[in-house]
Amino acid sequence: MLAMVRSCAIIGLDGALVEVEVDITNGLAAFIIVGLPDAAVNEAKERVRSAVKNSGCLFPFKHITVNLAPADLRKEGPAYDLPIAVGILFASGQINPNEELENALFLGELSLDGTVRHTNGILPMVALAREKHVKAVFVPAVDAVEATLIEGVTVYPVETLGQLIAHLNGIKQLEPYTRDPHILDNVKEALYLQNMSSVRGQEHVKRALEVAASGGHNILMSGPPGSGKTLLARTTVGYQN
Amino acid sequence: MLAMARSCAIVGLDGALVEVEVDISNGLAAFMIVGLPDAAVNEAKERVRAAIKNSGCLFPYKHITVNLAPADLRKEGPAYDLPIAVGILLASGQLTSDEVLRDSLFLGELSLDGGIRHTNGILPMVALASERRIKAVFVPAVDAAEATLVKGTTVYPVETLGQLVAHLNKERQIEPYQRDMSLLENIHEAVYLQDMSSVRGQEHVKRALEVAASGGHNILMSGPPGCGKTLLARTVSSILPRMVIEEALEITKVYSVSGMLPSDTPLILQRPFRSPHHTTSHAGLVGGGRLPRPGEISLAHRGVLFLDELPEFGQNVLEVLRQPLEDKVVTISRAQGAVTYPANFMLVAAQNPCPCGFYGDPVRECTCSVTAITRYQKRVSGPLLDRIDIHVEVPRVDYEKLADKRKVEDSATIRARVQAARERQLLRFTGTKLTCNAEMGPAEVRDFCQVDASAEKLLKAAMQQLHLSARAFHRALKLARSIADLAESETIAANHVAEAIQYRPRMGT
Repeated sequence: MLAMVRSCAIIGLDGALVEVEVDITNGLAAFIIVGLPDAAVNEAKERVRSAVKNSGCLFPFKHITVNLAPADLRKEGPAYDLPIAVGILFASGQINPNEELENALFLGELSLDGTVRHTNGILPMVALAREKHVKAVFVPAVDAVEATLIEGVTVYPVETLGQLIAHLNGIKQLEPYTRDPHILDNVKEALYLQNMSSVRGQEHVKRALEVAASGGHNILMSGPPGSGKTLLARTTVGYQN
Repeated sequence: MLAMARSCAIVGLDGALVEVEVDISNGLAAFMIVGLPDAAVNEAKERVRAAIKNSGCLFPYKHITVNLAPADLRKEGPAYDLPIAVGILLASGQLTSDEVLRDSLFLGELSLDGGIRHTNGILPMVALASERRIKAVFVPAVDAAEATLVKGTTVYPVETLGQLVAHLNKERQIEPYQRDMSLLENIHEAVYLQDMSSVRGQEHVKRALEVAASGGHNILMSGPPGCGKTLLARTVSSILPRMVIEEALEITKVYSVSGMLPSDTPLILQRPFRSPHHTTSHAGLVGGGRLPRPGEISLAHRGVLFLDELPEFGQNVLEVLRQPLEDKVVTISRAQGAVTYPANFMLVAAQNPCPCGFYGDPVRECTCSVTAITRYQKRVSGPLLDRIDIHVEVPRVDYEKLADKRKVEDSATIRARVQAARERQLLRFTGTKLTCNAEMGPAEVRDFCQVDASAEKLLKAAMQQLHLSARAFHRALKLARSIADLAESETIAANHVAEAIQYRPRMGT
């Protein structure tokens, strides 16, 4: 049986769509991943096998081929664990076909017990989802906050593979992560390294820093050792908003 | 059973015919690919197996050998998925061989479900088919538009392997892709970053850029910091003449092979503008790397290569530019063979005259020692400077010019003049491979640069008094030819030669 699940690769700072194709056929039991996978991606085989078994599902003892398309893009990192697992479960009939699956991106590293772990690069991946008009993303629960910085995409925080299977099979819905509208407001109440008031004198330098901060200008401070240049530099963050 | 399907490899920017031979025999079930395949080609085994099964055909459980001939050419990339699948189906009797199949090229990456995915480098592959008079090419449907940029061969867009099988078994025909003629006419519609009218003053530098653009001459701008060199360089794209279709196809091939074709259009419509940072490596600038790829000079082919802060580029990196500036191509040699990429770009370079930048400035004093200045200027070698046709100084601009509110000539006006001059050149060079004055060699200079009597006298005096080298002499003539073209004059007069001579390099102090 054939299945396809969408995921994402990172090139530089942007995401690129990766289609995880899974084909399960009769034949000598094997599990092959193609699509220029690096070492971490190849190790997904072990993690996916254990995670699937430990989530109360069957790991098909058949000939499994996973193709990470496009074939000439190198695939790196453990973010493909979750989509590969979902693809295998879908292709072996343990997840029912549904529209949601076709219109979503899946990302996340798996633990052997089925927990979905923190994965790097979630933000560019979700940005790609919005660009490609993908409706939903399933990301590690610990990274859901990062994912909600992008508007227009429904973010489902996934704690375990079992939880995701239950959601896709309609047994127990996952709550989409609700964006905290005040998250960016709290940026003002941050603790800064140094406060300007701890610097005595140097009024004209402080004024220059104020002009620099307001217009985003570069600034060079020149002077003898010990006069406060480094101290002043460390206070500049206090002026940014 | 033995079968063969034809495909194509990319060597540099050109296609090379690859014959995919498939032999299926009795024996222990195996699937081997030989012919120096890289990792992506080897992975084709899994994709082809799954695609064939999921297209409703049988995957033979026998001893399968695939040979990608010629055996000494490295095969890269997933484009061989489709021809390998076709070969296996032929060899196992699920497809019948006939004239049509033998006279076709097959290209494309397969999905496990039999779908055919976008593949890089389709344009050069189809160009090869056209050259070898191969009647048909079967390409991924998403790349069909790119494939039809080349005439002379029928393009069949293939969406799935199943569709192709039905077509080859004469069950259900695939419609050949109809060329969209309007695509080639849209070369004229381009959007430019900077307009000449945003630069105030610097009239003679703008004039030098106009001469450079009309004849395709390289230009070096030298001057103190902050006077507009970088700004002017960025405006050059907006005064370059329109591309002809052959140039657009050449650029598109380079970008297709590099995987950099924009997704919304298969044809590059605008002359490229590349401005690499001065920390670029050798391979990044010129091309190369372990698996040779086009470098910045090829990505700037038929366009502009802007090198800002010229002395900051590594010295060995700059010296590597000398040969491409002369030959308009770059040849990268590896143990497996040599690859040639086109590199016919217009070089626009900017530099300060000394480390502090103010050497020769009438207002600010230069604070560099003589040795520092000499050492700085030596970073760009004499032979490299000699290959740059136009050397112009960019002085400081005074307040009156900067604050002047009057209208300054915009790029469209200048471009019209440049276009007219370039068209005179194209007319002059019909029957030859040249497209602009800068490409002329000494023989062509003799043939095409007729000077009148007063110009000849001036040239002779200049050669004697200024001690011009032979290359400098030819350079002056080529520039004079471009200046005369801009003045819409068939003969080169003394004032054209006079202007050309003033663009020569000034040595040292």
